[in-house]
Amino acid sequence: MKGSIYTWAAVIALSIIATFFTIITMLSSSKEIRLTDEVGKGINAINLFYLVQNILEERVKLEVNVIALELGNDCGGLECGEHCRWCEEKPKLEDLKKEYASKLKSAIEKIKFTENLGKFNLQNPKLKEIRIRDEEIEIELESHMINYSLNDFNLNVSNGTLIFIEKNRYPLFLKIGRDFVENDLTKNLDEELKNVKTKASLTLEGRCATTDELLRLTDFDTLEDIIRDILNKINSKDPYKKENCKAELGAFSKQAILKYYNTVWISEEPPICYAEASFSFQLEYKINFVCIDENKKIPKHGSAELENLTLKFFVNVNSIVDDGKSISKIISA
Amino acid sequence: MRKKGFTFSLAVMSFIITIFVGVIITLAMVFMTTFHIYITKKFIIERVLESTQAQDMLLSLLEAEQEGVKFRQAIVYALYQDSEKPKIWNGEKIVEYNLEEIAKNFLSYFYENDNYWLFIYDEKKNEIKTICKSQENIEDLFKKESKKNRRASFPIDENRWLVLYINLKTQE
Repeated sequence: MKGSIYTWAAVIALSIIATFFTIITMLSSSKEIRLTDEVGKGINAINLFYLVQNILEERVKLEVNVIALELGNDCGGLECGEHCRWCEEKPKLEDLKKEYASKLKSAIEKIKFTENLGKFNLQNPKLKEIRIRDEEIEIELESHMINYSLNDFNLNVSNGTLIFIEKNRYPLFLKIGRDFVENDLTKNLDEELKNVKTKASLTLEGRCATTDELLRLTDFDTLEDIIRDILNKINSKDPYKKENCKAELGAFSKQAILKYYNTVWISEEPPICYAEASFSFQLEYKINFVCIDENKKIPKHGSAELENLTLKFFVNVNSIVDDGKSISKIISA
Repeated sequence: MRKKGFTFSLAVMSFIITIFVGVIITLAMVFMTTFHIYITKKFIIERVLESTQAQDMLLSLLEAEQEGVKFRQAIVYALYQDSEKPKIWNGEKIVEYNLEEIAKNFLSYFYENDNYWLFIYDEKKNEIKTICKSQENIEDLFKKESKKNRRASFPIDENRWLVLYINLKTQE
């Protein structure tokens, strides 16, 4: 009888203790901890995704600016025959924008992150589209992805699409530069140069004025200043003034061709001679054009120097001024 | 009589063994919790060093601002300019962003009594460039892989990582 009581006591004691430890084990080891572990991994993966995204955004924006700086210092990367010379027809605005987009595309595609992040894997971002507007660049990316996979537990963290917008006036500078070359420059030059004095007359006692003396009475000697004034007038108008774009006269050469020269003695005593001459002026000059964004300073690779966003190019112009007319042309390749 | 004695002994021994097993399980669980070892359903054991708290700290640090320039921008510029004090245009003036000073101020505020170490690790060159640390010879402290270490890291390009180690004197 006693033996049976002890047996039952032992069985009950064993059952109570076993149940107690089973409950503790069930609660704390298997499902609950596994769930906590997986939720923790999910939070870590989300954090990791945003850490990478923050750096990705800055790197994309840096590339947008650095490529604009490099191309702007190199007249947009396209020229006509001579380093950084633009012509009336070339390069086209669309081609300049395509060049920018193409350089940007290859720079962004080079942005890669380590793919093996311990227990997570990273799938690098892919470029989807580049939208170039006058004062901002929009980069659309197929977002990077962080994933984790273990047996029946799969985790993917991604944003689908990422859009980064960076303010940059390089495309606007290209537009202003092309407008200057295609429309404004020759139009403004001809409007002013047609008023240049190409004829002169002089009455002298005892002799007739020479062609050189008559030439000095025309605007021939001041042609350089006249062109500088015309450029200053262009510079003072918008959008050039507003966007800090300037045209400056570079190398300059001129030639006067005598078209007509006549002398008449209008009195014998005292001897007085009336002389008149008409010239054609042929000018060849270089105009340097530069736009500078004072509010955009971009770093140079490997140096602590910062440089302003700039667009630089030059054009060669040929002007023929003749008797109240002027024909200016931008020299083509 | 013999049968009774045997049953009694069996009961006592079972009781003692059960208590012993229970104590071992409890100790094991205490050990696992202390060392952050979790047992999953499939008995996958993982030592947890990657800390969400440290990651949160890195995320916040990336937003730390000085005169309109954020730490995340500064770290990218620092690598591009190859300078610990990158110069950055904030739209009005050039700011010399001192990575060490900003990170130190930020981390000291949250980890006043703990140790921290922020660095860039180049896995290709196997090189560490310290941005800031809470004390000298911090490397030795962290190399011991103390159970109190917490780590967060993320890639900043193909070879380099930004890594934050925190050594908590008080547990999370």
